[in-house]
Amino acid sequence: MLIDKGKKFYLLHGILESEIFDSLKSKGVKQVVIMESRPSLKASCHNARKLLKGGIEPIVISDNMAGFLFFRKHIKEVWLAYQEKGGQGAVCEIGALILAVLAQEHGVPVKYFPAGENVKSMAKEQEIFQFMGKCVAPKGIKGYVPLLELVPKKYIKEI
Amino acid sequence: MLKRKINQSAVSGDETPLFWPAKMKGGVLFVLDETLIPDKVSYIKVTTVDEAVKVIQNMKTRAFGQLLVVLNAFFLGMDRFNKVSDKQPLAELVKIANALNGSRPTFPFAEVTGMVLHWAQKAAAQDQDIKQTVTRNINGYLQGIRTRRMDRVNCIAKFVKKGDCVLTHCNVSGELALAALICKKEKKPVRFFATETRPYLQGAKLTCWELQKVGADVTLVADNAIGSLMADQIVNKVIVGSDRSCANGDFANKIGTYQIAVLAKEFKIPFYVLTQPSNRIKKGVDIPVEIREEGELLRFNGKKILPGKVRGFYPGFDIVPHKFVTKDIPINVN
Repeated sequence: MLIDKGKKFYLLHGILESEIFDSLKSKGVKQVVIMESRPSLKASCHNARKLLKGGIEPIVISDNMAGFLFFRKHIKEVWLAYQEKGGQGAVCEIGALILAVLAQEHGVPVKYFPAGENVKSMAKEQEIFQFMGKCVAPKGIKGYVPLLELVPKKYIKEI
Repeated sequence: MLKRKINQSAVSGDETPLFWPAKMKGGVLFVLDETLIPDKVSYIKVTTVDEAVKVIQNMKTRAFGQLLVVLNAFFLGMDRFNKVSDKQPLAELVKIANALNGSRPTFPFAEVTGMVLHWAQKAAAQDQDIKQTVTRNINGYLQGIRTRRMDRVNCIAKFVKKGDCVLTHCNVSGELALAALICKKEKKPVRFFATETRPYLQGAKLTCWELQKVGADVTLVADNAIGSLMADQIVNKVIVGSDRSCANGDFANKIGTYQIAVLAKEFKIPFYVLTQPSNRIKKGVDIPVEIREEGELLRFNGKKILPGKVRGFYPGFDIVPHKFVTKDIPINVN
């Protein structure tokens, strides 16, 4: 199986800078788990390209699958991209808070790095109604699509 | 008793197709193709046990639909008894059970088929007609399940309070939609948030569709937005279903449920789970979790979702320890 019992991985989230991938390469990392990052998949596309360029195999998971990997003790460290930092915490791409809370629950270290690219704070609701250009939701419902969220200071140990 | 009947009649006939997604008609099992919703409501004609196994494996139906397919598959299998002048109906039933048990690992297929085999063995021991007894018992069981699900729908509707904002995940096969309808009839405003539920998007496709169908207020969110929804106190309750329960209260449900449960606990949001209690498995870690083919995650509508040689990992289910559950909403299985 791709993810066998006992195997541990770095988990990347957000659009990370090129140096991050160099750092993983210098550590001799062969495989890394990346989040799909709905709705645009921009972060997973970016991270996958950079990892492949550096000879590291990206393993993508859907945004709802991180919990499974934490529960099975497959996550060694979480590396998150932040857009801004301040007294209240760090503003990261949506999904970062899930990873920060899961990491706290499972005692996994989280490292925060400046984002390689800024994203806007909200997407148009239409973006969540489509996947790869195909409509996936019934017409007439509402969508709520935050793209950034605050990871409060209490979850941040190293930035 | 009278009160219960009035409650049930309030929802009778209002079920969405997902509430009872498989039914026998004229010797054919019609299974709702859940992968085509919301584009169209279409039923797959299933005439053999092998075809029944395929609709389960290909996720044309899931969750409660699997129970219906398994039970009705025995009708399909038993229909062949006369045609092949089978002298050993018990052995044939065991073959049917084995085929169904091997379809997917996480749902408790063996518990369901074991119940049917028990009825058959009992009939054989009492020298009764096995086919007749099994048919009567399956029909009675299904009727009972329908009543008990309706009871649970009423329970959910009572449980949801005026002004609640409920987060749900994947799809709970029609029960939440019916409860939403009752709330609407009672003029109790409730708002629902449905997660997309990648990779099959059952939340977007099924839950949003059926909640909208009953006129409920539903908002679709990405699976990665649940942290913000909870931290910003946009939702105040979580209600999810379950595919399998353990003696200690742990349960298995669609992938994504575990992280919702952990965040709900962190943000002090009550987390409720609809369960089918069972003592067959002691604790959650003993439940086998299906790892599905990575292509189902990496491709969408025939196209690759990411460039290059990217791998994918697709566990189908999460195990959720009972410590994260605020309250079970069980179906009465007795």
